[in-house]
Amino acid sequence: MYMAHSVLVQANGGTSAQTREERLYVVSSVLIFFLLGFPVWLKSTEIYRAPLPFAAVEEYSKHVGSSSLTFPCYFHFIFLEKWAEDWNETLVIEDLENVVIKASQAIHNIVKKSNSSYNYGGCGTSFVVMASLDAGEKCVRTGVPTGLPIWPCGLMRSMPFTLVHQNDNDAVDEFLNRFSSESLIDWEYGASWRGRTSGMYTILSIKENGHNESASGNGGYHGTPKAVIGKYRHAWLITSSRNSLIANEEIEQLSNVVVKFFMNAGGSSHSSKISMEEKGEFLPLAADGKAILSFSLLNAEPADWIFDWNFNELQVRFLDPILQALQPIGYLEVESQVLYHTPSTIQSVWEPAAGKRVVLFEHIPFFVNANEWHLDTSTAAAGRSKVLQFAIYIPPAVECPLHLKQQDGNLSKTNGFTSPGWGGVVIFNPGNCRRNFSGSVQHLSLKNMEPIMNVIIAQIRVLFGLTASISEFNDENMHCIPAVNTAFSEWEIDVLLRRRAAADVASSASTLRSLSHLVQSLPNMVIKDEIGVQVRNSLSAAAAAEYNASKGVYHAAAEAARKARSWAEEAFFQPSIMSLLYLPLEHHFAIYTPFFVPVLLHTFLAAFKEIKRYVRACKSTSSS
Amino acid sequence: MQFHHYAVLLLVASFPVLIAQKLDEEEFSEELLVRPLPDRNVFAHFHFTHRLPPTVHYGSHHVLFPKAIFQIVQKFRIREMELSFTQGRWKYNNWGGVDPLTRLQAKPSGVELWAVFAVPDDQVDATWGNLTHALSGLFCASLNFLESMVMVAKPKKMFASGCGKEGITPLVCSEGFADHHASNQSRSKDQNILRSRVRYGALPREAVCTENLTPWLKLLPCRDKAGLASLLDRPTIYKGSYHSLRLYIKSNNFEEHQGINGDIGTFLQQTLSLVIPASENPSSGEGLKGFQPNWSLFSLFGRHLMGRCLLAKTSALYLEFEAPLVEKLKQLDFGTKDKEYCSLAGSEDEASLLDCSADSSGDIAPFSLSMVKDNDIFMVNGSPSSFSLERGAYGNGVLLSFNIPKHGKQQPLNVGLTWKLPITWSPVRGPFRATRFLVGSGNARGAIALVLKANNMPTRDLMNLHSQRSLEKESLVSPDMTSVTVFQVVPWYIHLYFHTLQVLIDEQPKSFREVIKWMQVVPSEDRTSPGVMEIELKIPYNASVITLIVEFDKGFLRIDEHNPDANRGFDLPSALLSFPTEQSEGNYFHIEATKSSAHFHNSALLEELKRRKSVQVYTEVLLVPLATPDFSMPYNVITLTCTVLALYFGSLLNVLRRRVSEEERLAKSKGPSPQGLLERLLSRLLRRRSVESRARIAKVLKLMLVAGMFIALNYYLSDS
Repeated sequence: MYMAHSVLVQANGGTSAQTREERLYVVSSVLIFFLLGFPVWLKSTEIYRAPLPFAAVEEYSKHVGSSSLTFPCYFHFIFLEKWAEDWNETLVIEDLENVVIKASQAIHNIVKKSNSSYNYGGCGTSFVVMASLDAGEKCVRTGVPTGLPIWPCGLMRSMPFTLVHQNDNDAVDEFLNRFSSESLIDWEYGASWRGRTSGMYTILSIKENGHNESASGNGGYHGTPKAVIGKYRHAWLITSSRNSLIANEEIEQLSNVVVKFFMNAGGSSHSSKISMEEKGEFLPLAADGKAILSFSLLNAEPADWIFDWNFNELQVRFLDPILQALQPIGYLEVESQVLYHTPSTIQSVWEPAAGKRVVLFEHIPFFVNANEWHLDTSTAAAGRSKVLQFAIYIPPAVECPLHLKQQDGNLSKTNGFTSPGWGGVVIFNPGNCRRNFSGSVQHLSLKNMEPIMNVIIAQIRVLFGLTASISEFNDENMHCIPAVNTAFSEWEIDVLLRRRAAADVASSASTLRSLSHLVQSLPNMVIKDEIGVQVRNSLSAAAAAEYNASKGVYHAAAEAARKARSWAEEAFFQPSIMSLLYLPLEHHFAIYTPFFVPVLLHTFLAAFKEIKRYVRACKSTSSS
Repeated sequence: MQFHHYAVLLLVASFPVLIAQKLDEEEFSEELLVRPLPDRNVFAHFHFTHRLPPTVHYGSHHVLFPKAIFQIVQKFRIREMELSFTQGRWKYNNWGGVDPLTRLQAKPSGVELWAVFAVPDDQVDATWGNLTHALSGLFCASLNFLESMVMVAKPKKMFASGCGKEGITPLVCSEGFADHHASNQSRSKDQNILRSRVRYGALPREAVCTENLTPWLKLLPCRDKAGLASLLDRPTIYKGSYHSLRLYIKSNNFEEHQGINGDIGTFLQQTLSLVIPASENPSSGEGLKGFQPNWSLFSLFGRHLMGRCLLAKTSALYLEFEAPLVEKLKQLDFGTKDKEYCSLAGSEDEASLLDCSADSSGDIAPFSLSMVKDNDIFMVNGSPSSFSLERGAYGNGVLLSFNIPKHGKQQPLNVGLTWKLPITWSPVRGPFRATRFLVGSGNARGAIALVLKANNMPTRDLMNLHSQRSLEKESLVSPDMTSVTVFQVVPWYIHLYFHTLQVLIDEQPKSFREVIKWMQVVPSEDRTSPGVMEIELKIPYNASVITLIVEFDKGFLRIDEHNPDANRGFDLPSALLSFPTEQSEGNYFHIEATKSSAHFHNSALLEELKRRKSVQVYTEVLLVPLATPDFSMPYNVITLTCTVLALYFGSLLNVLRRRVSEEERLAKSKGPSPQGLLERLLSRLLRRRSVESRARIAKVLKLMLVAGMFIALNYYLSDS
C-alpha cells in the first residue's frame, strides 16, 4: 500500500509510458494476489475425507449381484449290497461312475428347472457327487475328491438291518451318526475334519433283497422305495429292486431327496421373484448375527386368574438345546417377563357350533395390543440388535376357551400365529376355565408348558424360514426324523448357514454400495479414517467368505460373511456420518458475497480496463 | 456347660430372625400414605417396593420385577441409584421439615440423578454416560444432557451407603440391608472405593409431565389398571403444588459376598409424592372460616379406589396425623385427662410402649382407635384396621392403617376426613430454614448468598435432648455445636471465587478455623467440569442466622452453548444442606389392631421410615441471567465489516489506478464518448430513432439484462 502511494506520487509527474506499465503492475499484482490466494483458500476450507475404495465396492457389489455366495455340497451315495460272485471290480467301478454321472445330471436338472430359487441357501451347481459300494469286506469308491474324509468301509457288516426293518428309524440314525463320527476319528485326518462335516451328506441305499433272511417276516417293502431322512446328515432309501446293481429310478429318487432336503431344507416355499436382500430378512438376526428371544407371559385379566412360570426350568428344558444348535447361525439370547392387565385389542366371537370363543382370521392382525402389551423394552437390545417377541396370552375368564380361526374356517391346532420378523403369539387356555377367586398365583409347570413350548419352537422354525415341523413331509414313502431336542436337524442348520452367509454377503454388498453412493453424493461430508478402515475390513472379510465358501469351509465362511456385514453396517452407521457438517450453499454465499463480490468485481474490471488500455497504448505508440 | 446351653439357646433364638429376613421369592408391595397439611392441602405419598432375591440363587428371569430395571442394573453394574423428577418446591416450613417422609421425597425441582457403580474407576464416567442415555430413553426425559461431565459432580462424602461411620457423615446415606455383616475395616476400605464411583447430576430446568409418569407406571406389575396407582388421575396429580416422582435402586448383586450375606439381591423403590389441594368444600352448615376443608380419596383424586393390586404382597393405605396436630388434639380433647395420657416422648424401649398400649385398652385410655377415628376435632370416614403411635422426638404422631379390599367388592374404599372444629397447627420444622439468592447486579459479576435462619421451634428443648443423645456418638462435635454440611454444584459459566467465601454467624464474620470442620472445593474448569463445594460447618447451637457468601464472575458462552430461550437465564441446581446431628426417623409402633391386619409388620413404607437418616434441606433453584448475545450478530458483523473493507479496497484500487486528469485529457482528445457494444448494435438496428430514445432503450435493455442475470443466479441457487 505504501508502495502504491509512492507510485501515485510518481505517476502525477512521470512519463506516460512509465505510468502505463506501473498501473498494469499494480493491477496485476492485486490480481495475482487473489489468484494465489484461491488455492490457499480452497485448501484451508477443505474438509477431511478419507479415501474410500469406491471402485472396489462397485466391483464387489456387481460381483455379488451377478453370483451369490455358494457353498459346495458333497453327496455320497453308498450302496449296501453283498458282493456277488460274478462281480468284477472294474465293472463295479464303471457302474458307480455311471451312477455319479447320472446323479449329477439329475441333480443339475432339478436345480436348473427350479431356476434361481434353489440357489439361495442351496449349493447351486457347485456340488460333488461320490458313489461307493459297501459290500462289507470290500468297498469300491468313485468320485471322491482328494482331501475329503472318506466314509469308512464296513458298514455292511455292522449295519443293524433288523432295526431298519423294524422301522426304528431313530436308532438307525443314531447308529449312522455314531458310526460315521467314530470311524472318522480313526482316519488320518479325522480329528481335523470332525467339525467340518457341514455340507457332507451321506445317502445310503439299502436293498431289501440283500438280506432276505432278516426281513423274511416283513413284506411291506415291495413296491415303491421308501426314504428316511435322519436328523444328522444321513438319509437312507430302502428299495426292493432286484435286477441290476443300481436302478435308474433309484438314482432319480436319491437326487430328489438330496435336492429337496439337504440342499433346500424341504423345498423353497418362496417364489423366485423375491430378491436376495428380501430373503435375507427371513433370518431374524441383527447385523452382528445376534438376536434376543423375548418371552412374555401375558395375564390378560389378573382378577380372574394369575399365572406365572419358572422360566429358568423352561429355558434349560426347551430353549438351551435350540440355542446351542443354532450357535453356528447366530448368537441367541433369552429373556422373559410376566405382564399383567394385558387385554387383547380384539373382542372374540362366540361360536355356538364349537362351543368356544374364537378370534376370526381377519382379526388376527389386530390381536397384538401395542398399547397394553409392554413387550419391547430391552436394554440388552440397545443398538441394532433384533428382538423376537413370543407372547403367551392367557385370556380373561369371560373369553376362556379362546381359539384362533384359520382362513379355511377351522380352528387352529396350535392356537398361535407368527408374524414374520416380529415373533409369535400363542394362546394358553387354563384347564377348566374356572375363575380363581382366591387371587393366588398359579404356577405353570413344565407339563403345562410343554405343548405351548412346542408351538413356540415350531414358530421359531417358521421365523427362521423353515417349515413348522419336519414331519410335514412324512407320507407313506417318506419319513423325516424330527430332532427332538434341538428342533433343528443338522442338515437344516447347514441350509440356514448357507442362507445366512449368502444373505450377509449380499447385504454387506448393498450396504457398502449405498454408503459409497451416499458419500459420493454429499461432497461436504466429513469422512473419518475409521470409515475407510471399516469399509476395507468389510471387503476383505467378504473376500475371505468367498474363498472359504469355495473351499467348503462352512463355519469360517459364515463367520467371515457375518463380519463383512457387521463391518459394513458399522461403517454405514458411523456416528460421524450422522453429524453431517451442515453448511448449506446459502451460508457460503452469505459469508463470502459481502466482501468478495465487490472486491473481485473491482479487481477484474480494473485488470480488464488496464489491459485494454495497455494494448491500445502499445498500438498507438507503435503506430506513432 | 451351662454357658454352652445358653449359647445354643441364643443361636436358636436368633435363627428364626435370620430366616425371616431371607427372601426367596420376588415381592411387591404398594402403599399410600395420606396426611392432612396445615395449609388446606393434602399430602399423598405412593410407595411401591420391589424386592428381588440375589441373582446367584434366583436366576435372571422374573415374574414381578420389571425387566427394564433389572437389565439396566446388570448392564451398568449399579450398586445404588436414585432418580427423581420433581415439579414445584417442597415448602419445608408449611409441610414439615424433619419427618422421614420429607427426607425421602423432598427433592429439588427438575431432575436429580445420582448413582454408585460397581465398575473400575476408569470406567465410571463412561458407564454414567451410558446410564443417562438408557434412563433418558426409559423415562422420556432429557437425562442425556447429564452425559457430559460438564454438569456432573463427584461428591466426596455423600450419596453412598453407610452413614455416620468413622467420623464420616454423608448427607444422603441410606442404610444398607446387610451392611452390619461386614467388618468395619473392610467397610471403610469399601467406602473409599465407593466414594470415587459416585456421580451426581441435576437438571433444574427439566419439565416433568405425564410422559415421565407413564414409563414409571409401566414398571409396576399392575400399572395403573388396578391397585393404588389406579387413583392417579393425570389432571389431578399435575395440578397440585408439589409433585415428585422418584425411583431408587439398590443392588447387592455386585458385592463380593453376594447372596451369602445380602438377603435382598435388588431393591427397587418407586415413590410418587403429591401435595394436592383438598378440593371438597366444607358442607353448608360448617362453611365457616378457619375450617380445614373436608376431603375423601374420591374428592382428592376424582377416582374410586376399587381394590388392591392382586400381585402385591402388601397393599395398605395409611392416614397419618402429625405430632403437632395430635398435640392439639390432646390439648383440646383431653386437656383434663392429661395425666393419664401415656407420653412416649422420653421412652426408650418398646417395653414402655407396650405398657402404654396395655393401658390404652382400658377405659380411661385417651388414645384408642375409636378416639382417633371420631373425636371433637375431626372424624375419619372408613374403618381403619389398625392404629399405631409414633415415638418421635417432637411428640406422638398417629397412624391409622386401612386394608384395601380385593378387587370385585363393589364398595370402593373412600377414606376421608371431616373436620368438626376450625383448627390450625404448624408442622414440625427443621432446625433451620434455608434460602439462597443472588447478590449484585449487572452481567459481569455477583455473589451467591446462602442464608440459614433458625426456626424457633416450640419443641426446641426436645430437639436438644434428642440431639444430645446423638451427639454422644459423634464425639467430634463438641456438645454445644451443631453441624451443617453444604453441597453445591455450580456450572462452569459461573466462576466461583472460593477465596471470597465468607461465613457469617449472626452477622459476625467468622474465620474458617472457627467454623469449618471439613471442606472439599473443586474449582470449575471451562467446558469440562462444574465447580463443586462441599463444606461441613460447625455452628453454635444458639446461632440464629448463618450466612455463606461466595462471589463469582459470569463466564462468556459461545453462541451455540445458549439455551433456546437464552433471555430467560440459566438455572443453578439446588444446594443441598444436611444436618448430620439431626436425625429423622419414624418409629411407628403397633398399638391396636383388628385381626385382618397381620401384614402390618411387613410394610415396606414403615420399614423405610424407621431408617435413621440426617435431616436435609434443598434450597431453591437460582436463575442467573447471563449476557445474552444478539443471535444474528455474526452475520451482521460479517456483512458490516466486509462492506467497509470492500469499500476501502475499491476506492484504494481506483486511487492507485485511475488518473482524473489523464482521463479528462483522453476524453477531450477522443471527442464524443465512445459507444458501447450495445449502443452500437442499437444504433445499427434502430437507425430511424433519435439518439435519446436509443439511449433509453439501451438503458432498459441493460436493466433487463441485470435482472435476467439475477433471476438466473437465483434459479441456479434454488436448484442446488
